[in-house]
Amino acid sequence: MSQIADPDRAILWDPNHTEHDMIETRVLGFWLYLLSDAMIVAALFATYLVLDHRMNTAGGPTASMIVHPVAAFGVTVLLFSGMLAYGLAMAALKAGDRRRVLVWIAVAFILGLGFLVVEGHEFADLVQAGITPERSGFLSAFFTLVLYHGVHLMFGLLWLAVMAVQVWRQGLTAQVVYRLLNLKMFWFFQGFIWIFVFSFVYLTGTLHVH
Amino acid sequence: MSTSNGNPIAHPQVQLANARQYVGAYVVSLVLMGTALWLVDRHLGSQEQLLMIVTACAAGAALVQAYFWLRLDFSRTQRWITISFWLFVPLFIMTVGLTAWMFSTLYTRTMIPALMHPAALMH
Repeated sequence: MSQIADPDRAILWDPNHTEHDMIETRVLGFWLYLLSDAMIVAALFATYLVLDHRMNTAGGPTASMIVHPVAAFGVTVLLFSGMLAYGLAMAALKAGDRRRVLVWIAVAFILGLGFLVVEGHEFADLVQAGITPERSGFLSAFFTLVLYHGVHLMFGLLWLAVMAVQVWRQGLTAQVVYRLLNLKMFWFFQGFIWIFVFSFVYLTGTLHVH
Repeated sequence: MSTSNGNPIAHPQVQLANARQYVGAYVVSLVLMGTALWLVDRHLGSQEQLLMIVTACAAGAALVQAYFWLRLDFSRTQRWITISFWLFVPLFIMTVGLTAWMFSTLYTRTMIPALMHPAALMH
């Protein structure tokens, strides 16, 4: 005869089980999510490379007419500096120094915000000049690719602000630490993606390849 | 994946942080991007040469950031993160590369002649 387990008394798992490391598994899970997100970036890059051709400008501007590599290098410095600032926040975390973690998160936030302000200004200038995404297939791809990265930065800033509040209020608990580690990967990954945007949109855009 | 959760600061993921390496990667990344910018801005080379240089600088900066910022190495802590990344890279390259290649072939074979020879449009 089989016995029916009492659902109120049955022990279905051991809450103190230590085989799985919470921080490690959540970091790996978030990393896999980031890689799937990067496949969208791959699709956008593929689209951009296809549409970055005179054929797809519909008589509108080509890349060489709208990109400014020197200005783009300026925002690159801002972005990489923001990455470095967050790295230094991680070094402070390693030392268990909550105050320094907060200071470097604030610096990363300001630098990231600077990146978005300058980029926003650049795109506002384009729109004011009548250079909008619907003008041509090429411009649709250009706006989508660059602004997709910008939207990630925006969420990164929001996340930085949330983490600053959590570090301030909760301290460096396991829950806060794994979120800081996930934000580290997210934040650094934006710098990683920007290398390709800067190189293959802003730099090669001036080469008149097509 | 069997580390105790007792002290989160002692976790290997936290202990990966290294300020010197972060600063070093920052400097190298900017030097590589700056070099590519300088060469392109001054047109020091043919289109193909500059494209190769930009690609090489981007690859160099990406590797530096991957290793020193994202810490993609084969240590016990990072092994699976690194493996998943290197399994992802061919997918990324194939997605971008094959699409670009297919359409460049399409342009060459079907659409481009008139654009490549604007005089043809005059007739």
